[in-house]
Amino acid sequence: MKKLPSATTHRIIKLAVSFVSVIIISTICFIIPLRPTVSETEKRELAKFPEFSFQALMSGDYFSDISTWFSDTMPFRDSLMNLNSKMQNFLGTSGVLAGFNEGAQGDVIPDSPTPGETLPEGETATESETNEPETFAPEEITYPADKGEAQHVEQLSSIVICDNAGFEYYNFVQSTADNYVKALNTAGTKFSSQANVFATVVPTSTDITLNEKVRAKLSVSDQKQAIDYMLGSATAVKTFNCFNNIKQHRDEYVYFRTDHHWTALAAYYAYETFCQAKGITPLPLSAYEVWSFEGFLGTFYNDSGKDPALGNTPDRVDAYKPPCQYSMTITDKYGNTTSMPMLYDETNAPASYKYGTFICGDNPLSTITNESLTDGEACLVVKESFGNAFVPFLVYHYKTVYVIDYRHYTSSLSSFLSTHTVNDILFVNNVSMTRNSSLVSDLASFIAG
Amino acid sequence: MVFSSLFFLFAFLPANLLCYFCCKTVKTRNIILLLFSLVFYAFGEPVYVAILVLMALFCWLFSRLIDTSRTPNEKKLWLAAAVAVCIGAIGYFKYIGFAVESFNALIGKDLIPVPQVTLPIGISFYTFQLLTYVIDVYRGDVPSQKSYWKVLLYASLFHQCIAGPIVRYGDIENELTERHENLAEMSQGLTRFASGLAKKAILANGCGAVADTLLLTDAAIGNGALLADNIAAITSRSALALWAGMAFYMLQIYLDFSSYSDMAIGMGLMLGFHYKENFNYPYTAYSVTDFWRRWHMSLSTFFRDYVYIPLGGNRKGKVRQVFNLFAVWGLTGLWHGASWNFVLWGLYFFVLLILEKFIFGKYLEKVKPVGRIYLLVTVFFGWVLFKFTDFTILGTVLKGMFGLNGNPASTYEATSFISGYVFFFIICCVACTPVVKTAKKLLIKFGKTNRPVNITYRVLDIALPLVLILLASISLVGDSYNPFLYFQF
Repeated sequence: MKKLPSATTHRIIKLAVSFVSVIIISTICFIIPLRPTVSETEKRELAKFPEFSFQALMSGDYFSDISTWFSDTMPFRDSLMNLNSKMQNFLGTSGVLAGFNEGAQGDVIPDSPTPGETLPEGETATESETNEPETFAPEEITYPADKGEAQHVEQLSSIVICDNAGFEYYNFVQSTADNYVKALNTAGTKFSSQANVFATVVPTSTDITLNEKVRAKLSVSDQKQAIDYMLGSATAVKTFNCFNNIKQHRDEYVYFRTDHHWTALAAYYAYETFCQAKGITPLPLSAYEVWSFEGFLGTFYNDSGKDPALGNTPDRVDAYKPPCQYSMTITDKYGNTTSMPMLYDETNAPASYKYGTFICGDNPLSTITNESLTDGEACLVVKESFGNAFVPFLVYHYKTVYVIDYRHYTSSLSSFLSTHTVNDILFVNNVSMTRNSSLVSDLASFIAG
Repeated sequence: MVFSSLFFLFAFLPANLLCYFCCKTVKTRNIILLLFSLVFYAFGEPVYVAILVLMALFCWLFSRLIDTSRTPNEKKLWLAAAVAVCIGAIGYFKYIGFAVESFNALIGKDLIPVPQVTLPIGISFYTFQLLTYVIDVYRGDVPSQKSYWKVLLYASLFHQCIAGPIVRYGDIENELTERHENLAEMSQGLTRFASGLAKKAILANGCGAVADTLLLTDAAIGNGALLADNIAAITSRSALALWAGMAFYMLQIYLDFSSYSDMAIGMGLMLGFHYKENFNYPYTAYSVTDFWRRWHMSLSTFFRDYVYIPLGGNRKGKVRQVFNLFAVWGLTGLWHGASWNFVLWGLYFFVLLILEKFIFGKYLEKVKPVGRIYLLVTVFFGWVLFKFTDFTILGTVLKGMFGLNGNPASTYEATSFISGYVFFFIICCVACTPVVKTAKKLLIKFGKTNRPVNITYRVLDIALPLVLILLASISLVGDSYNPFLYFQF
């Protein structure tokens, strides 16, 4: 039998293995072109090498920024972070912990709508009469049952993973919801003379597709009740509550499992409710050509520290092409306009980008023109990212669809309307937005300004 | 800079080792070490590095003066001067704000504006190191160091300057002038460093994230403006979440602190420095007395040798002994932070130590399993005192642990969240015991007669340090990762 190496040889091998490896890694670290500048998975620019200043040097920021730059732009960082997620998953720890939802049950949702702001005299009557709060009629609605028992539930701070799908927590915040309603009512009062003002609040998957037994255990607010309350209180606008129509299709592919957005299919059901409110006939789903993008891994996937249960079953993004000719231009925050496809080809896009197919993601202002119509109405959709999947369904019915993302649009609604004529204004917000005070105040100042 | 950062691992440390081993004489190696140490310190504190340099200068000067003094009184004078400089510096930088706040609170009005002084990193460690040096010179235990640079190197050596262990000058006096690395110790040091790094980056950071999630982050606790939010958050927590959060905090604080000592000791060994052990599996102790023989040993022996014994120790009667212990534990508490909760934490141990010394310590020693449970429970509540610097939050946490905030015993969120961490919790608990060390000893023992065991041991010995360094590095990538809000894209 061969003799094992002597203690000295063994130690030399041991030290050499580690030191040589570390030196190799160090060398790779200093090959600057290997350092990434943006992170695809996190959708952000990575730290830059700090600029030298005497002040930064003295405060210690200069050195700590170098250290941040070094680790933030590590070569192959996204792959390494992927590995890290795998390791954390193996250990049971999640890489990302944003907060713990226990006890944050939210405020009690009032049983009946409040009239909201007292409107200036003379302006209330006509508006509120045209808009009966339909949502509060006693109703017996049955929704499709769960497809089976939940096998595995995992709590991850602000999201919960049930089998292979993520779900976002929602907690009703009375004051923010009231400010949201107030903003809608202000829009209704200010602009009803110029256009029909519609509004809807889109639920998230937690109250639609999540297994009912698991849902019952979570400390979250009831979204239906919250949406009923908010839309019921928004008496100065025409509301279309899409909750029931989406939930009646909960056994279909209405929400992504790896992302917090709804699918275009759910948006179609919301569009059906909108058509009902507007009094037009919706196009049947079969009228659209479906364009599918496989391999979508969205926010829940990244926020769960790349949970393998989600990673192994990526989503599919279906985009519905309206049966007409259309074109789109987007206006960036500097006022430059670019022509872009309304539905973007995401076939080869990174896994986390694919929801961006709808109107090319979030832009301050997008203008979609229906080339098949020579004449027709115009509408304006005010939205955050949930609205993106909804907009393509409107294109068939309008000559022009303007889309404003109030988070990025720098001007105000009234200044937009002073230069553009629209027949309808649609507020499409998701329920999580209505508890986020900074977004609600963004929307309010967009409307009030 | 911290050891558990990619910049340290793949830029600073390799550069340091390469430069170090390219030099052949101790003198040039010391120069390299000193330069790297000053850069290391300046990375965190570009201005305060001056304090470190000055403190070392004063202590060097006074120690020389002590050595050349002819009369005992003269010696005493220089010692007093050195102690005044050290205590004065730490007193000003660490405690002045706290002292003024406490004074204002005592007289009931804001008589003196509270000075805003930033705490220089590591001041509690390096001033104590310098104190041991000057006092040992005074006592005649070590000769004074002729070279200022060596005193500065001793105080600033990046291995231990920032987070200990508190290395006594006498322990490395010879090694400052004459030291030899050897393969056995280098290999030992490498393993020690790698395991410390992994312990910090994977286990301690993981525990910290869980504890922060279940309780509150230290940043939140320290922010007085968030007091109402903090209280609201804690009040609504279930008892289970609070207990589990504290258990993870208890693991974190040991794993974090001891891993820094592991890395320091390991790096020292690679260069031929022998720092004393700082932790000896404290959570396996069977009494508080035993615990403090195993926890942060360099600090407890400092207080023993430089406070307790000079005050008379146990040689001046029981009353005096109790007072001496009181002084030691009040100071130990205060050393950990300028806040009353740390003093309370120290005195909590004082009371337990007194009780053990005079009443039930002998029983704990006889029935060690009971003693171990008792120790874990008492230390657990010690950490509650330690974690919450604000007494209102502290009270709310303690009440909440017994469901006295009207909070539930458990919730679905708590059970499902915590159940995801059971495996991780077990790994961390194992890391607090000598299981791995024992396994290694057994492998070596049976390897002597059994070839496959020997081969297994050798492969592990070679591969593990690198594997641990790689795993730790992976877990440090994306350290800057901030979970984004859903709406920002």
